[in-house]
Amino acid sequence: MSADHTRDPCPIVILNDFGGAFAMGVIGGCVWHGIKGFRNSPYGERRIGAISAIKARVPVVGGNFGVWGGLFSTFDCSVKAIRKREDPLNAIIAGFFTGGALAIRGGWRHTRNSAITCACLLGVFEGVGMMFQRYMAWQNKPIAPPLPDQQPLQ
Amino acid sequence: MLSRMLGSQVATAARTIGARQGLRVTTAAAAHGQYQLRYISSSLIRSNDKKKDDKSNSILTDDLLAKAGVDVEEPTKSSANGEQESTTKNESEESSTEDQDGKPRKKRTRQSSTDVKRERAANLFYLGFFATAFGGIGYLARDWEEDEDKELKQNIPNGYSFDLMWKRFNARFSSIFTYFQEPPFPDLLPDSPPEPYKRPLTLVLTLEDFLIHSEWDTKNGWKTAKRPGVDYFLGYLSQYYEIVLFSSNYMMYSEKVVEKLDPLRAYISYQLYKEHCLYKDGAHIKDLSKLNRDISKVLIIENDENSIKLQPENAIKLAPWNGKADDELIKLIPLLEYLATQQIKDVRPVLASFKNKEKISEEFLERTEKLRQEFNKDQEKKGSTNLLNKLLGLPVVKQKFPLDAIHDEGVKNYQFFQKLVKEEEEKLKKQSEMPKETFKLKDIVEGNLPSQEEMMQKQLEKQLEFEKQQAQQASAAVAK
Repeated sequence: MSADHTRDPCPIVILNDFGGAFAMGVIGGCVWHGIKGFRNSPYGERRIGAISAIKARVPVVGGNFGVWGGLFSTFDCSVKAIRKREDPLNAIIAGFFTGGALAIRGGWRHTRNSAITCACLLGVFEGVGMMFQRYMAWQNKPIAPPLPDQQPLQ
Repeated sequence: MLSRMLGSQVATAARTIGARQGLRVTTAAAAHGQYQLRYISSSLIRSNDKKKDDKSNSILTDDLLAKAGVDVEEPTKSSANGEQESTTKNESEESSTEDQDGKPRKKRTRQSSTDVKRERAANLFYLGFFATAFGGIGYLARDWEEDEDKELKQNIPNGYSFDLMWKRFNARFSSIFTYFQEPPFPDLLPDSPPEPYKRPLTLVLTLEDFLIHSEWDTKNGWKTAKRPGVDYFLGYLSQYYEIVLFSSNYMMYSEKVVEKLDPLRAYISYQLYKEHCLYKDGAHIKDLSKLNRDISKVLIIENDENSIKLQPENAIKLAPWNGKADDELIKLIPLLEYLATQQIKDVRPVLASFKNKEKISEEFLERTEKLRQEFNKDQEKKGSTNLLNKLLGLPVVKQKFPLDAIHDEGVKNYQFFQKLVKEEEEKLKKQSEMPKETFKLKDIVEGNLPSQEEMMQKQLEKQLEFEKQQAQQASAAVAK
C-alpha cells in the first residue's frame, strides 16, 4: 500500500510523473526561452522573436523534462518493487539509473559520471527532505493538554 | 619514396613507347621489343594505380579525423611521409612528441584551450575534494569535545594513536547516520497527567489497516474506510486508557485522517507518526521504551511484525484489516476493558498467557464464558440465601457477573461522556469562528515561532476573552 495518497499507486504514477514533468518543462521553458528569444531579437521584432523561440525550443525542453520524470518514476517503481521497502535510498538508486540511462549514448565514462552526479543530486534532495521532516516532527512535538482546573498564566 | 620513383619510371617508359609508336617501326625485332615494353609498362601502370588507390581511398585523412576529435590509430610510417611534414603543428604538447625516427608515436589527442581549462578545473576539483575528505576525516578523528554525547565516548579514550583515531572517526561518522535513524526527540510523550486525570494504562494503536483501510482503484482514486465500530471503540476505551495513535505513515499523510477520526481530540490523547519511529535494520520500529511511560503499563495493537520487533511482549499482533465489514474492534473491547479495570501491575505476562494473539479476543471470550458458567453455578448454590430473603420479604438480590457489572458501569460512563462531548462540540464550533494566529514566512525563517506551550497558552487566553465577549453579547441581548 502506498503511503502517499496524493499520488496514484505504482504503475500508473509513471504516467502521472511523465505528464507532470513535461508540464513543468513546458512552463519553465516558456519563461526561459521567452526571455532568451526576447533578448536575442532586434528591436521591433522582439515579441515575434520571443514567440518563435518558444515555439521552436519549448517542446524540446518539455520533452527532456518529461523523459527524465518518466524514466525516474519507472526506475523508482522498479526499485520499490524489488526492494519491497520505502525509504530515501529508493530515490537515490532510481536517480543513479536515470542519470546513467540518459547518458548511455555518450559512452561508458559519461554514463558513469552522469549516474553518480544524478544520484548525488537525488541524495541531497532526500537529505533535505528528511531534515525538513524531522524539523516538522520536532515542531509538532506532542504536548500535554491543559488541565481543566489549571488557569492559563497571565 | 619508392612509389614516387616508380611513378617517374613509368612516366618515362610511357613517353618512350609513344615515341616508338610514332616511328612505326615494322621490324619483327622491333615489334617484339615493343610488345615487351608495352607489357612492362602496362604492368607498371597497373601496379602504380594500385598504390594510388591505397593512399587515397577516403577523402577523410587521419589528420582531418583527428582534428574532428575522432580517435584514430596513428597512420603507419610507410604511408605519406611528405604530407605529414606539411601539416600544421598543434598547440598541445602531446602532438609535438611525434617523431620521424621510426619510433612508434604516442596516440595523438588534440586539445582545444577550453579542453585544457576544463581539465585543469577538474583536477582542481579532485584535489579540493580529496583535501576536504582528508580534512574531514581528520576532523572527525580529533579528540573528544566536552559537550559530546557520553554514549559515543564510551570505551574510546583520547589520544592520537592510529587505532584510537580510527575508532573515534568511526563512532562520529556512524553517529551522523544514527541521528537520522532515531526519533527526533528522546521522550515521545510528555509526562502523564496528575492523578485524577491519569489513566491506568496506555494503549498504542496503529492506524493503517487497523482503524482505517485505504484502497485505490482507477474509478475513484484513493478511498479510505473507517472500520465498523471505530468511534465506539475509541470513545469507550478512552475512559480506561490513554490512547496514543501511532501511525505507520508520515505525519503529512496521516494527520488529516486523525483529524477526521477524532475532530475534537476527545478520545485520542496523542498521535505519533512514522517520523517518531526508530529506524533499524531496514524497518521502522515503534519503540515503546521511548514513550516516557512505564513499559509494564503500555499495550500496543499492531498488524506489522516489524513495528513491534523491540517489545513483542507488549503487543497484540492482529491480522491487517482488509476493508471488509467485521466486528473485530467491538470484540476486542471486553479484553481491553478487563485489562484496564483489574489493576494489573504488568500487562506482559497476561498477554503472554494467550496462545494465538491474532485470535486473542475469541480466546478471552472462551475464558470468560467458562468463568461465567462457574459463577452462575455458585450463584445457584447460594440460592438458599435468596430464599431466606424471600421469606423475610426483602427484595431478591441477584448478583451480576463482575465483568458484566463493570461493563454496565463503563457504558454509563460512556454515555455521560458522549453528552459532554456534544456540548463541547457546539462550543468548539463557535471557537472555530475565532480569528486564528497567523505567522509570516519571515517569522518561520528567523525562528521567531513561539513554542507549542506558548501557543497553547495564547489560545487559552483568547478563548477566555472570546467567552467573555459572548457572555456580554448575550447579556446585552437580554437587557434589550
